[in-house]
Amino acid sequence: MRLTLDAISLQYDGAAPLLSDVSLSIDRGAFVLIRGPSGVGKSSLLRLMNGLQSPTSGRLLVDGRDATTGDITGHRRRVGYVQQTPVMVAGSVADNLLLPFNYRSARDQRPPTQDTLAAALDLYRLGDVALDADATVLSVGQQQRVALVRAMMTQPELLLCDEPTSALDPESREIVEDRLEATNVDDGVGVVLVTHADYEPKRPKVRRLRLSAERGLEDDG
Amino acid sequence: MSVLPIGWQQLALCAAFVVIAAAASLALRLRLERDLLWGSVRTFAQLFLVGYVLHFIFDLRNPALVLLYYVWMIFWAARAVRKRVNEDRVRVFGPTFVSMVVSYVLVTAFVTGAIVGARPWYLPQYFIPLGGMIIGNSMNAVSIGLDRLFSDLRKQRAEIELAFCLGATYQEATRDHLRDAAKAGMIPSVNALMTVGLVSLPGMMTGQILAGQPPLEAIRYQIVVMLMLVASTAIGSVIVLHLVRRMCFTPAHQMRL
Repeated sequence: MRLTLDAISLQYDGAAPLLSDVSLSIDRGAFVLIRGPSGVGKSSLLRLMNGLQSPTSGRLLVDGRDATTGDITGHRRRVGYVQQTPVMVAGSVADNLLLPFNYRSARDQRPPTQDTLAAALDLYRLGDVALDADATVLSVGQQQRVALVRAMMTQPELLLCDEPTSALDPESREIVEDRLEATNVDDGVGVVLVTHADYEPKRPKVRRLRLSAERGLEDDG
Repeated sequence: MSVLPIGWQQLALCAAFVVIAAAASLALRLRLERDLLWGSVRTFAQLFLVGYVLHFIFDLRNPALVLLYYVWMIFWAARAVRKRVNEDRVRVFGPTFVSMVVSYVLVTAFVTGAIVGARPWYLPQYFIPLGGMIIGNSMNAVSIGLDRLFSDLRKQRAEIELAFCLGATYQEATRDHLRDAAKAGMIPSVNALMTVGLVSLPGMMTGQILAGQPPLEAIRYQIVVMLMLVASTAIGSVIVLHLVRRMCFTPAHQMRL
């Protein structure tokens, strides 16, 4: 899959334009880091890619086709999105992980077994978290890892992460970063990571972008 | 037995109540005198106006006119709902008006035609007062439901967007919100079923008793009215909530709020 933002502009009601004329293509399997000061529109950029919001002008294309006019729920499953602060729905860890299978867009996917879920948690070093544990009382670091496992349940081809480690302790941070790199290098899933931390990926071939109010989106070394 | 008529003199005597209230307002410095006076004048004027209009409509017995008057009442109810909900991102008047018209006309026609057995079914003496009760009652349910829907959608934006990210449609992402809003709107009518007759005598029954109906006749009407109100509240608010929820999202399943 090739995801393209084609001359995207974004302006909220009564505010100055946040993004103007931004173009970007992300190829299958890429590992993209987006940096930039706060409030410059990095989160909005991810939301636009995932179709959570529409640009004021410009288009979101997947393999050359407009992604927001067709099967938007299918698009969102292909382009996963992990929020900065993890959101857990009331219920167990398993309830949260199985959430994507409650929707009609999952009708062709078989829900994973308990063993598969446990193995997935293990990868994120959550082996000591029981599947029937209350998800809302986990630590933020654990919740963020559950959120990542959950996002992977739809088997996305591209995973968008909005500062996923900013609220985490160093240990959780390292686990998340390792997993994101493995997801990219070993599983071939594209990763777009918004971050302002001094994170240096070890394994993937990284494409660095910088978003600023003055110069828009540009390659950064 | 018929009603004891109230003449002009008695009405004038009644105005003394307003004077007493105004005196109390002055003494306690509530500054409500003007509102009291204006409110009383409006009560007189509005009710006399309605009295004449109804007199006219009752005489003519024209179905189009009866329905027109009913739709006119619904128009004001939908406006009141819009004011109370006070939501500027989504226009609630249109869907409220349309679903009120559809559901209330159907329920009222069913009650007058099939249950009360009025002939013709649009007999204004039955159709308009029964319909009016439906409007007044379920207007509250609709406002409560819409209020709840908007506040829940706003409060739980993160959860809803999470569901979107995982492939949900807006219907799937807000199933619980819709249900909770409908429930919140309906609870007062359901509670009324529990307490009717115990806490107070309902207006319809009171009116019939005042008009000289035997209590055992009056309660039958009241039972019909109570059940009719629950039904119209449920149908009306469920339709309104569906239509309004749809307006809270774009065709690409994004939140407009």
